[in-house]
Amino acid sequence: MSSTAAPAHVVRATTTTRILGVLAVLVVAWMAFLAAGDNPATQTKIVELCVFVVVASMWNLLAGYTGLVSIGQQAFIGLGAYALIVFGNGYGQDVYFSILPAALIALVASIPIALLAFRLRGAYFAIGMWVIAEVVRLLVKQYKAAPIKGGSGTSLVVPTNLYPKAERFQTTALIALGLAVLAVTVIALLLRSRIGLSLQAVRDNEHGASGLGVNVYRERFIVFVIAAFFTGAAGAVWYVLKIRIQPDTAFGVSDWTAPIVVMVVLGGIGTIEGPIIGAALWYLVRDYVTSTGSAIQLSDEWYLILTGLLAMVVALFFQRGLWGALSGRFPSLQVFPIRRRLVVGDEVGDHRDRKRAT
Amino acid sequence: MNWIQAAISGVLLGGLYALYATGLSLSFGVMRLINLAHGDLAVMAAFLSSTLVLSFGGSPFWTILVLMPVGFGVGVLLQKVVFDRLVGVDPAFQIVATFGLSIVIQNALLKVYTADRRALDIGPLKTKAFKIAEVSIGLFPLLRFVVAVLVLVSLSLFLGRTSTGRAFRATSDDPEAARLMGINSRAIYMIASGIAVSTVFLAGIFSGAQTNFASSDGPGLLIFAFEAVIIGGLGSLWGTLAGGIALGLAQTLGAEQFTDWPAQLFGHVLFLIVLAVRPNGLFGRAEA
Amino acid sequence: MALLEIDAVDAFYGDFQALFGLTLAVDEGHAVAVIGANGAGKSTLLKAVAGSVPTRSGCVRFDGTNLADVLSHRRVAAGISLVPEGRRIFNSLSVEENLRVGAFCERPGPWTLPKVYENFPMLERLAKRSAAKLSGGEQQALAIGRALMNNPRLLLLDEVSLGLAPAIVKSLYAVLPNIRQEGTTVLIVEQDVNQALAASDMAYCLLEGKVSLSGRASELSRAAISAAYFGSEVHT
Ligand SMILES: Nc1ncnc2c1ncn2[C@@H]1O[C@H](COP(=O)(O)OP(=O)(O)OP(=O)(O)O)[C@@H](O)[C@H]1O
Ligand SMILES: [Mg+2]
Repeated sequence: MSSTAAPAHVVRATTTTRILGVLAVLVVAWMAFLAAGDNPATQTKIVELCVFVVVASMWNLLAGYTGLVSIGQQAFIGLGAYALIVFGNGYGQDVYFSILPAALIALVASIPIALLAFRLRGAYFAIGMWVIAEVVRLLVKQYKAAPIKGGSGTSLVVPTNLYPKAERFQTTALIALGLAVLAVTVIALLLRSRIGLSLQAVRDNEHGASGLGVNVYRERFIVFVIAAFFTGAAGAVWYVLKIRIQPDTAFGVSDWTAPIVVMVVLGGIGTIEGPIIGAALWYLVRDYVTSTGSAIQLSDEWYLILTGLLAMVVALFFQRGLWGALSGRFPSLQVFPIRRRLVVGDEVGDHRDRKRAT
Repeated sequence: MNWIQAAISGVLLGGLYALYATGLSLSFGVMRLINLAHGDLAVMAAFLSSTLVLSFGGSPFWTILVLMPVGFGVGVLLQKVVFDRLVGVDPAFQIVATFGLSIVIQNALLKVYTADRRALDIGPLKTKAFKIAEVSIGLFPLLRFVVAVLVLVSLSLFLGRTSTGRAFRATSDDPEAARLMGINSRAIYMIASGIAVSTVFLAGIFSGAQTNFASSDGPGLLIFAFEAVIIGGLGSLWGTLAGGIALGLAQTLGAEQFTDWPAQLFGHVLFLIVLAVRPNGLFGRAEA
Repeated sequence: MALLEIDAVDAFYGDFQALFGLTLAVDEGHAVAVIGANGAGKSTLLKAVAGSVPTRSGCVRFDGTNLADVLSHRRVAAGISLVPEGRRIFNSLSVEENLRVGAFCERPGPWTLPKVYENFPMLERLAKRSAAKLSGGEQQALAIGRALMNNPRLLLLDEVSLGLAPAIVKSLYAVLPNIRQEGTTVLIVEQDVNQALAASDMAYCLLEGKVSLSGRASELSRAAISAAYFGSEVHT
């Protein structure tokens, strides 16, 4: 009532955000330094982490901002990966220059997939996507000729005279890191754009926003296609490093979507930072509990049972996830300033703390 | 003649798929919840049945009498501990939590029963068949089909004719208004989950008697159940039966024509066609 | 002792407080009107009695028992029936099935299917029809009939007249004497002040979650009501 005296303005970046931003840049720089180094074990970890950051962030973009919860994102991993095989092994193209077209193949495939799957809602969409991924897997398995070689799989041919093994690890790690940074940047920009704002309006109030005439279908479509592109790129990058590919793992729900889902809810669904934190944590913990010689060495079964339990517990009792809980506690905590805060008065800060006379 | 043969086995297989789908359809209908561990529960039932037979002997059929009530209990328990917290929340959390449950069940089965495939031995019944003009009809698939239809008939009588059944439908329409009629929606949900798990237990034992099974089969069964529900159309038990039969037919006829392709692919393709042409399913209500 | 006693009740939707220390009593056998502007908290009051909105402080007593720990479906079994705002008919059930669901608790009493049909003759003709296909007036009749099937001691009516033509509203209110004749206590929430006052013995006016006026329905003056309705700074 009395706020007329103080001008209200919208603020995005705060001091905390700037500090966290600098920290994020430092972490990326450190990873780039490691990627450019000569330790293939470290480089492998960087590729794995970055690929999962990309795929988890994209899954979160869909599930956390557009309500499209998919259990079929492995379709795009496999499509990207197999497109890479076709370009590389089939047409003899340069492996690195095949990553972009491979991702584009995933993007193109995502258009008819979206047209079909968008007819389903909620959990039905989730399983519908899974069926679609299964169809793609079965079709790929059925193609027994070169370069795909059906269910037994094949190996990416990387000419060692052009790219010796050490160099391949280094280049791939740098590409993976670049891809992760690009993916997260694209997400942050997308969420700040008109598309992102209307998506978030819909997420926060489905009826209200559609009443305001927000055409959700188009926005969801765009986001879905973008996610397919990056997920496909991540799949391609993964197999540039791994070389050996089989349809059952490239399109495997337990290889991809299962861990991704856990990473995202653990880190905090619907936040940009959540999937990154979830993926990093996941890797640290997994490395620790499954490596021989660690204090708690778990068998695969126990490891997966605990993973499943963790997913359940987080989804049932801790829905905001780690980052969600942290930023709920400390509202100024955000690395990516996409949420806009309305500040009343002339000062940047938490206006709720300020006493105002009425 | 092979075609007729394939069509008959497709229809009979469809009865089993409908039995898988019943619980999925019921839980979704009543509380808008999809349990991604649905298929894993079926596999669990098959393993439990094999354990009972190994310990006490006899045919797997008697284990049905034990395991269906156990399944009901498991459903009630899952409802209390897990599903109750998922009713009405963002589907993302439903998916994550039940996906987690699926991973837990699969790996617990793997841990206990190893990765080996098992089979339930129903003796000579498995191969008994009778012939009507050149076409042979397996006795056990026929029995399984009849039981599936009986289950669906009794369930639809329950929903259509009893006071509790009406309470189910009222809760499905509007749980808050149903509470204003004195209906305890949480009790309704428990019964729904109990029925869902006990029918999928039955389906799991029946399919374990026909083909061997392993701990990792659950997700595939979930997909079949899901396809039967969508092909038939949400919100109709008869639709679910029709969907199951359509799915079974697509698989057996497809495999008959294209012998070196996997049968489930043709079911998936039918599912996608239905989705493209009739998104509400063959018998679905328009609202979906 | 009054049948329903609401004593200094606060009710919330999440962090949003809708009722502030609201106090009100309804004697057995009476009809009491609750009037007030949009958002005054009338529906919230009824929901607090029916148990679909939790109260944080104060207490709601029904026939002397504190309802604090009584879940909403148990309150129905105890004899509290709410005809909710917006009718909330079960669309996939037929008219008759809707009525039968109303009798889910099987409380004994005068209200049976034939008696409901007698009072709302249009429902009998539509008995087998899907409830979704009914007109607004028919749905409202069904909602009232459905609540009566519980043979409630306390009937809560939330904006029966909403969106209906005056003739239809009149025909619905015409049933009220028959309901009261069976000894049922009625709490009527209405925006239509005249309708509400004509049908009741006592009236309360709510403003921003508090009682702003109360008294015998026949003794309240127009001026007092409009002041209580719109808040005191409005002078007309
Ligand atoms: N589900 C809800 N969540 C949050 N706030 C609500 C909810 N329902 C009502 N409110 C708020 O509570 C206050 C009281 O609402 P209530 O519905 O009780 O008003 P009312 O007097 O019945 O109004 P009307 O005449 O419009 O029906 C209003 O400010 C309303 O915005
Ligand atoms: Mg109201």
